[in-house]
Amino acid sequence: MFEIKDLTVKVLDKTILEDLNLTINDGEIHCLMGPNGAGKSTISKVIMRDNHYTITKGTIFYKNFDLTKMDTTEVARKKVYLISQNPIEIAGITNAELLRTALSDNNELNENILEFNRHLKDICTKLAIPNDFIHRDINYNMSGGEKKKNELMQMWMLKPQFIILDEIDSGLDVDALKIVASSLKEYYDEYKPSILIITHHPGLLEILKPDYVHVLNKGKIVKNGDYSLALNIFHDGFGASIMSREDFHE
Amino acid sequence: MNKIIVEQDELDLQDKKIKLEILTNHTTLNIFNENYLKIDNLPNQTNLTINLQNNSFLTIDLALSLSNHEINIILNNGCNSTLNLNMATTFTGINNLTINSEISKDNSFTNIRFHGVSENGSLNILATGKIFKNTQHNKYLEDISIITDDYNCVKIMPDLIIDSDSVEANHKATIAPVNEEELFYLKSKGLTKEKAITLIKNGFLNSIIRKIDE
Ligand SMILES: Nc1ncnc2c1ncn2[C@@H]1O[C@H](COP(=O)(O)OP(=O)(O)OP(=O)(O)O)[C@@H](O)[C@H]1O
Ligand SMILES: [Mg+2]
Repeated sequence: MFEIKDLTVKVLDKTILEDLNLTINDGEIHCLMGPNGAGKSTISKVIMRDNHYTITKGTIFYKNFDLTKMDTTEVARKKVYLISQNPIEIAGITNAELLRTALSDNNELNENILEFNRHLKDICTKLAIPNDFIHRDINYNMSGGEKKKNELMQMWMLKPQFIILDEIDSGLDVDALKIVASSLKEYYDEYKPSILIITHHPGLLEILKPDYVHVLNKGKIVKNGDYSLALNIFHDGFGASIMSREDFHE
Repeated sequence: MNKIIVEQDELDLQDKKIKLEILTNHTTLNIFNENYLKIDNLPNQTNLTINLQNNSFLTIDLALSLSNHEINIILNNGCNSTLNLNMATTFTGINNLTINSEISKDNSFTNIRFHGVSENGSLNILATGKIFKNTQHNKYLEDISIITDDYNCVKIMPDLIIDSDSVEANHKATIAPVNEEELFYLKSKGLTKEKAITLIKNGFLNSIIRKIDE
């Protein structure tokens, strides 16, 4: 189980999340929606223990570990995986190098170099990216859509159990969206991870149907519902969901 | 890749793709046509002069571990010549590097990239690009970037002396610790901080020089 409790987060002196609560049971798919600047990406980075964000109150428990007391490496090793909104580029480090290091450091590298490469090639094929992505520098000179696929390629190798997808569907063309969504669905069916989807678009949710939908506004969850809430928002906008709580702090 | 051990003072290179092992303190390389050179080591006292002949092309990758080195590099460009000088360098101890580019002909392109990683060392770099009077259509780029936690131990003095109206010249110098976003990214994939820093530093060095299957 994953449980955020009464979480308050500041950057510099600005409160970005306030008394946030969110529970995700194992194997559930949750969707987090909300207007630009609501604090969605902040949640994802706080979970990953990005130290730009200061937790002033609250806990984040995952499998009975308090992530707020851990650092990024430890959280990742609890099998939490973030595909961030804008994956950064790192020149000089290849995907293969990163993955082999990450797996061997965690005693999970049980493939020899040939099997490892073959495994990655299969993933590339499924994601419709060239095999040379394996030995390309991390996200370096890749298009927006290619970066998202690259992050998915890594996900398949690292096999996380809790996945945060921060707008993985933004900037994807129709075909890429289909490939990404079905790859995620396939991963879900195979490993039954918990997934937190952050999105502004319906496409991904049509394939990866969320069990619950939450609406975040100004750092607070203002509405909870099921898939139909997402559909209403796609249809009518956030107005109705966030209107009644307009009295929240600026 | 073939290797040449340089024990003489002067060497002509034409259409070569080789590794150079320089053993003398004073070396002059005369570059003809198209060449790729790789150097992994330089003597502690090194004076290296590279003369690019007209219409020549040179990419030279230096992957160096500096330790109390004193290196002077002099670059002379011929007409229509292209020079890519890439230096990927760790440094410990006290080190001085000077690079003097003398651009006295036309239509040349000089691209100098220096990536340095401090290993508790100090480094002074004096990089001078001198573009002579009445020269035309030259391009001179210089990018010096160093990873260190200790700003006080690194001095970069880029100097452009431009006497020509027809030149494109640019220099950039960066001194910074390991990039925090890169560190966060790698840790978020499960790497320890130490491993991540090692990968970042090696990647930073390797990103400007060719990967070569020996
Ligand atoms: N590192 C930071 N420094 C300063 N302010 C920040 C930082 N990170 C986030 N913020 C601020 O916190 C608020 C929430 O940002 P966040 O990126 O979490 O929004 P979001 O809900 O993901 O929006 P979007 O839908 O546009 O991606 C914004 O006002 C943003 O400017
Ligand atoms: Mg965001």
